[in-house]
Amino acid sequence: MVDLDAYIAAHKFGLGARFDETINIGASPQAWLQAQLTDVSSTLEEYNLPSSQAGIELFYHYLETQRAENAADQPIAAASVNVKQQMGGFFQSYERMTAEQVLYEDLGVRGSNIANATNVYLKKSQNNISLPASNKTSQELAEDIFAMYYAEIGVRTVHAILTPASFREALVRFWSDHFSVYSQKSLQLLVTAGAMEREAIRPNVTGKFVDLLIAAETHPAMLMYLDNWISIGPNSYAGQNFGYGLNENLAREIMELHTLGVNGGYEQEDIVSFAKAITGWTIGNPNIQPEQLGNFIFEPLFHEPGSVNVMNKEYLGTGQDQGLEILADFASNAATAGFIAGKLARHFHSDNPPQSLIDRLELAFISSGGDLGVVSATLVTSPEMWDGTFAKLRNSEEFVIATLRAFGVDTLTPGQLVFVFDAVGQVPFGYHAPDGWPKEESSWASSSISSAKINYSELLASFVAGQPEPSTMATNILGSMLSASSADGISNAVNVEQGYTLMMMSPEFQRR
Amino acid sequence: MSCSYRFDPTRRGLLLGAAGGLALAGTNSRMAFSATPSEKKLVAVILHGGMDGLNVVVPTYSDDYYAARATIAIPQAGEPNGAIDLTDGFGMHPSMPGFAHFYLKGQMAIMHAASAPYDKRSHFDGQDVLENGTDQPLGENTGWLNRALGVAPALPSALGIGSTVTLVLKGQNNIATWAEPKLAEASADTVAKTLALYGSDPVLQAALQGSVDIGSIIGDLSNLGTGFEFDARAAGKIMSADGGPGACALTYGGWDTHANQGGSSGQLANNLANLDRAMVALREELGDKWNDTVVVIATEFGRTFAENGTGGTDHGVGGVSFLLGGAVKGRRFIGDWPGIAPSQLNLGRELYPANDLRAMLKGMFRDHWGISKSDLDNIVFPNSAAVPAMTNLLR
Repeated sequence: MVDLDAYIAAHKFGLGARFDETINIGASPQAWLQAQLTDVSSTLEEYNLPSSQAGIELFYHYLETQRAENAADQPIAAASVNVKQQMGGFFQSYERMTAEQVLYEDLGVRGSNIANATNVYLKKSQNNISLPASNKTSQELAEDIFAMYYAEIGVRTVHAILTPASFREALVRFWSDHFSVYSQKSLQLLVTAGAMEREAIRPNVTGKFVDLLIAAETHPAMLMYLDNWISIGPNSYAGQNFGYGLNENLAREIMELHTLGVNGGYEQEDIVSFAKAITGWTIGNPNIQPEQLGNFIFEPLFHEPGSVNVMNKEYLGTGQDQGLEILADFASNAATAGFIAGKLARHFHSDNPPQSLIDRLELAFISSGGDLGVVSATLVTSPEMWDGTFAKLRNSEEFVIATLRAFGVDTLTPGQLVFVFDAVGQVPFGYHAPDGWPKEESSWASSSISSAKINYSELLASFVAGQPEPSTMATNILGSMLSASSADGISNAVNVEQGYTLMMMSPEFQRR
Repeated sequence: MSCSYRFDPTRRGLLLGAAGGLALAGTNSRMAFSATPSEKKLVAVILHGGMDGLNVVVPTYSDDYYAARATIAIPQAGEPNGAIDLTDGFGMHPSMPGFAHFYLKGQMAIMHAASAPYDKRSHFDGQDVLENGTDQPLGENTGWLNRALGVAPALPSALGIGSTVTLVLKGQNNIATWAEPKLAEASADTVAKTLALYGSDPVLQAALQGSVDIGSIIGDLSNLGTGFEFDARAAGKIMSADGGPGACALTYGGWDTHANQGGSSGQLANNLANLDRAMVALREELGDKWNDTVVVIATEFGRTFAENGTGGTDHGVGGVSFLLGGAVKGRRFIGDWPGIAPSQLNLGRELYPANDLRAMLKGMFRDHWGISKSDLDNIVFPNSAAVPAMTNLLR
């Protein structure tokens, strides 16, 4: 008989038990969890997915190809050495890009077209694909863009299904959602949202919070999602010559959602000052620093000169460092520690976690100088996590991954996975707003999602062959979490498929 | 272990439900909607992509229009494939006989040159502003229709159509959701046995029971038609059921016609025909309740005045919006027409956005649902006191 703690480790910390996993976790579940904080790499390098830089290069290639195909359209202006012309070219290109950019949904990835989405990309990427050949049509390049996006979802999902270190993977998802970006905002986001998780989030989930923060805020996906790449200091060279101005989006969301929290003790003036400090944080593009195409750059000609005052502290006009210093101060602010601690507790414990758990995590954050390895280890040793309550309703993606882990299903194509995630209302990188997916039970306990989950469960159950019979399966996956009434229901099922479905739909599987 | 896994998306199952812990609380809930039923129905139709308003309600009076749209213009009424005459100088796209009928019967008001308070051209930001009800992208994480539910005296419930809830309906107030099914329906026996597992979990019980309840309201899916008509019919059935929700949001995409948009026939015409058929179907399903219904149709922006080099149009701010329903005082244009002579165009490229959509929506909410001026100015459309509600929109 495996101890309840092994099931807690697998389900409440991890992404759900794989068959026989709790036997391997055995008598020391805390050691099993702690090892995942130090010994494991989860950067997915082995899949050779394209970088965000390569994605942006592909996007511009697509754009230029599309314009070239349009015979009636203006030819692309030759590169200029004149700074003013370069800047003008940037703003014109941005305006035009926005006006021309076709909708994600109109490029054919929704509904029945999902079945046609290219699944070969995943295989190609595993064989280290090269960038698209330049003789492709814009339609072919658009397909490559979607294939990149599908590959990101396919790889992160298959990894989540197979990994023996699913606590670490749960941390990746927590932090990725904390720095949520919306892939469907534009094609640039489509080619960078998944890469951001690999490049900015994964390497930092057990490192210092400030490093994670800087990696996320300087990532091209974030800079484009919250518009900072076109935020221009009013007194900068570009501001004075081209009439573009400040965009506060990123500054506001960094303070409200990524660090201090909405009651973090700042005012609107602080947002504006911080927004000025991070002007010039942009992306190399065909007009601005083209040799850095697709990389984060600091562009001095966009940057608001001079010092700024943020939350009663003066920051000198030091260029890029000005914003970095402010970010570092946000990271070490006590409000940030409290905000992060509460969010972690609500994610891993329940919608209404014990205050003692929040306090313990907050203290760990502060005393370790924001070391997320220490904070995560504290979560592992917190008695509240082992109190035997399972109040947190799995969200739709967590539910699907838990089912695929339980049955060991790793053969779904990216297109099929997106189809399933869409059906249950949660396609990865698909939440439109920067606050990330809803966290509370009320958003996931809807009839439409409940119905989608039971339909999905029955479908999955009908295609898993050669598995142990349902009662054995339920005991193996849920162990002493399983209630007598659920065990009864499962053993009284009319057939194997119904038994599996009841296991997946049981309250003990729905919650963690 | 691994397994083979196939999909059969052609079979239909139901995805129904009550997000946000709706009116379904309680273990013995029998009805999907227990909030006070609202007799004043409101349907919001959000057209994603930026519909080309000038080819929908066509300014047939204008030579400039015909000059700027050599291959895609809609001919004048009376000519082959011509517009359906509405009033002096304007005609309805020929694929929309239902709309023309609504108009001529006095059940449709048209707001041309309409726009949410957003004058740039990004789909993402434009849709966000249209649905969040503020004057800036990401200005609120909730939608105006959801906020209106909380301040309307009758406290109507609402229904979202689509696998994920569109922003206009997101928020604190209870909503149900329904979507065109994507996966085959689980067997009734399995659903019943699953419900039996939820004896001590009222939240999961209410959610699944809600889907069963709405499923019985909808009945046979094969009677719902296809495409957008399917959504509209389902909405009409659910709304007109006893105790059915007072509001509903539907979204319909495919309006981003950059290339080969067509004229009296073609891509845009097909979409318009679908929209037309869907609204006629909605009216049919609502039956007697149509007389107490207002349907609002809006899109994030219009398109360029002139056609582009690929037989389409690009993003341009001024669009067209509709109020229809038995409760609407129709057969008229509301708001101002800014004109489309070269000097009257916005930036020389697009219809000038003369009419703020919020003015129409506020007038509708005040007269249809009795929402106070203060709630409209501050909650439904935050910081909008400077945008006065239109009057005299409804019967």
